Amino acid sequence: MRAHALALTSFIVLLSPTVHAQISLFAYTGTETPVLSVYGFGQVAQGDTKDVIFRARNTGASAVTITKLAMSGTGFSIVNTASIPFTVAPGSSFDFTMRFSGGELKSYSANLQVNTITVLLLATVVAAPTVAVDLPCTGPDSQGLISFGRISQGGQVVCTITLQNSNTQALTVSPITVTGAAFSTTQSPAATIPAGQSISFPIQFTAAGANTFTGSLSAGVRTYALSGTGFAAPIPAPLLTFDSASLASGEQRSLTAKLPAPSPVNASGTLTLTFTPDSTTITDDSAVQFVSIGKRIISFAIAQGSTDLLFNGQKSVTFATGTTAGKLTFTVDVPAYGITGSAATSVKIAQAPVTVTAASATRRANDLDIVISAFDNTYTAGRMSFSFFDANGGLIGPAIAADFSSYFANFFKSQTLGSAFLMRVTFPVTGDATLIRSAEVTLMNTAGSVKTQRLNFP
Amino acid sequence: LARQPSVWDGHEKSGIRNLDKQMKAWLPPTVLMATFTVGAWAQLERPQVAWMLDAQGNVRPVLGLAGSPTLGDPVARNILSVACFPETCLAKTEGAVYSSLGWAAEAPEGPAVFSVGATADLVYIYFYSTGQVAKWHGGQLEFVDFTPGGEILSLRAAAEGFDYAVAREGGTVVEHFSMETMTVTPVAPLGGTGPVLLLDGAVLAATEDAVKLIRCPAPAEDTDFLPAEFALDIPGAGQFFLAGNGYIQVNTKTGARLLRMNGSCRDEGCWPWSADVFVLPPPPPPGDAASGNAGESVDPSMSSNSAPDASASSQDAQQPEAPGDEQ
Repeated sequence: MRAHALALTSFIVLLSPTVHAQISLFAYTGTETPVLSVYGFGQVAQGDTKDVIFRARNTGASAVTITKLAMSGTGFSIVNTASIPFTVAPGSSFDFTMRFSGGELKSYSANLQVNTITVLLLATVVAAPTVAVDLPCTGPDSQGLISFGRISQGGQVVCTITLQNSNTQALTVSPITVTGAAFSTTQSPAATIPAGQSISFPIQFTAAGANTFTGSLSAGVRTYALSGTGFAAPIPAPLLTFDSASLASGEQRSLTAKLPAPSPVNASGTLTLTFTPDSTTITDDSAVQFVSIGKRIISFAIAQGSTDLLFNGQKSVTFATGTTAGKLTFTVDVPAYGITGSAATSVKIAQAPVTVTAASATRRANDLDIVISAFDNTYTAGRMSFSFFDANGGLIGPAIAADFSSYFANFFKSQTLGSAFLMRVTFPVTGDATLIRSAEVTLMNTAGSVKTQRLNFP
Repeated sequence: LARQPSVWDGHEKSGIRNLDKQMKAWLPPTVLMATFTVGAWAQLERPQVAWMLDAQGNVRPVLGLAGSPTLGDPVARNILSVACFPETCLAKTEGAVYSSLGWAAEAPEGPAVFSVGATADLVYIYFYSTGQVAKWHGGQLEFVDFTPGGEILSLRAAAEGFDYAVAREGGTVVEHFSMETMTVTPVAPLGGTGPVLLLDGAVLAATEDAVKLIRCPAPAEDTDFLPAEFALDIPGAGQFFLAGNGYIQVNTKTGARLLRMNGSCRDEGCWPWSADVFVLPPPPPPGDAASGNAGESVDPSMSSNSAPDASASSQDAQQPEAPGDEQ
């Protein structure tokens, strides 16, 4: 039983932090790691320095004074320390930094003494490649940071990393690894670089959002911090152009949209068409739409580096102007990025006199029929006049004025499909209707009047 | 043979015109001259531009203007091919030919080609499945003793018979078949292998990038006013239909177009025809009660056609009615 107790005590002594009186020694890298009688700095690239913070913690119930902090050996030095003696309160600690600066390619050792605690420090200097980066990246700086800079969120940037072997012998670099979700490389995890030569490989940074992203590059014994920042980059408002300088009712027109500068990102969005009629008779004209899809909202895509908005892969989209005077408004939305400048473009469809698209005259016994196909984008048609002519072109009597305004108003009031109408006017004639050979019709609205061509009765 | 309005909803009485739901107004009697007394009826309705055959086999009216079109509700369903003439439309279902005037006749299965330049009472029809040509006259099909020697792409009624564009090795050719002599006469080689529509004095021929209007037979002289052909910016055309009122429906990879040919006449003749091309909207999805717009209701009182009946609303599952069955 006694033998067992002694063995356990020895075991605890060996694995516990180096303890003397009330002092325990730790290596501090954000967390405290107990330092035993030997502490290894590991492999250090030739020309590099490696600092390790040591922490002497007072684990006792009374104050302890650090009276001795010394080091013997080559390659190591004590830096960043308070002057000695230094009293450490119970529970508090005393920090100092051990720096290793190796020169030749060999192993190094030194003894560190803190009061009565002695620790053997070990380090090895090894050959390592030098690291260089091409623009747009910068670094590595004195802290070993390689910066990918700031890019638009959703964008990517690729930097070329070069590992140079300046030694006189071939150098195997392993590992070559990249960490961090925003960073990636196609480089294999190990490479042998001939003496005096170099290898290069890309590292891609993808900014998934408007944040700063970090990672690391390990190249043999050296590790570099990687950093890149994504920022929200609103898409500049596209310029909308139409295939005609002015738009009128009853047309199909083509719209193209271009960014003033190449897009920094791949983006997608929607173009929405809204219509506000001038007339209060109706609330909408459903014929106003992107015709090929029969809707008022259409998706588009913008490729990184391009200025073109592509609608179903096409650079233009066709829309119908309808048959109602009013305002067409095209609004661009790119939800992921937003739009700088005005996202909306409005176009006015002016009020116009009745537009006659077809007119004809027919005869049935003593009935004369006039059929007019037309549209009235003011929704105020109704007043009209009819002039009849004989075989010599002479006017037969005065023009017949008519006012069908109330009927047109009744016809129009429930329309949502536009103002197109087909009017069939029948004139029962008492007398010899064959003497009436032709007619003209004048249609009026608030924007003016229009006269049909001379319509001949067959 | 029977008058069969079954595939047409409500058009058998008025031909292709629908005068229901219209406004009427009286103009008081007016004395023009001592010998004339004139009153007037005024009727208002929504104009119809043409007809279209949608991808689901529905024939729909195109309403409003060609430039601002909206589609009405289907008036015929389960249609494979259609052609609309000034007074009537003919439609081919899987097993019959129907007229919008109410006639119907059993016919070989599958789609068909209807002749252009025809009257409502005389139409030549080519049936792909059997390679036969028949004459539609008075609601009857009379098969012609004729072998085209290839697949007919288009038919055109012509003097004493018909012209036809037929696909042969080496390209499409146009020939004339005389019903009097039962002989074939070459008209013109067209080349190409795409869809074709024979017109009066010309041919519409689709290529990958455009639709070409080609004079046929070719002119003796090619001038600015009388070019042999010109191209319309309609890529990917795959099918032509006569849409009525002088319009032609062109189905393309990106949707349907409505083509209006415009004559331009001088002493040398009426050529070139300018052409207006209009994009047609897609029909509303099945089950969408609205038609002709993006999700907004249509006022039925002003649409060209009344809403389809309930039995017709499940058109996708419907089979064409057998000839002789009245709807």
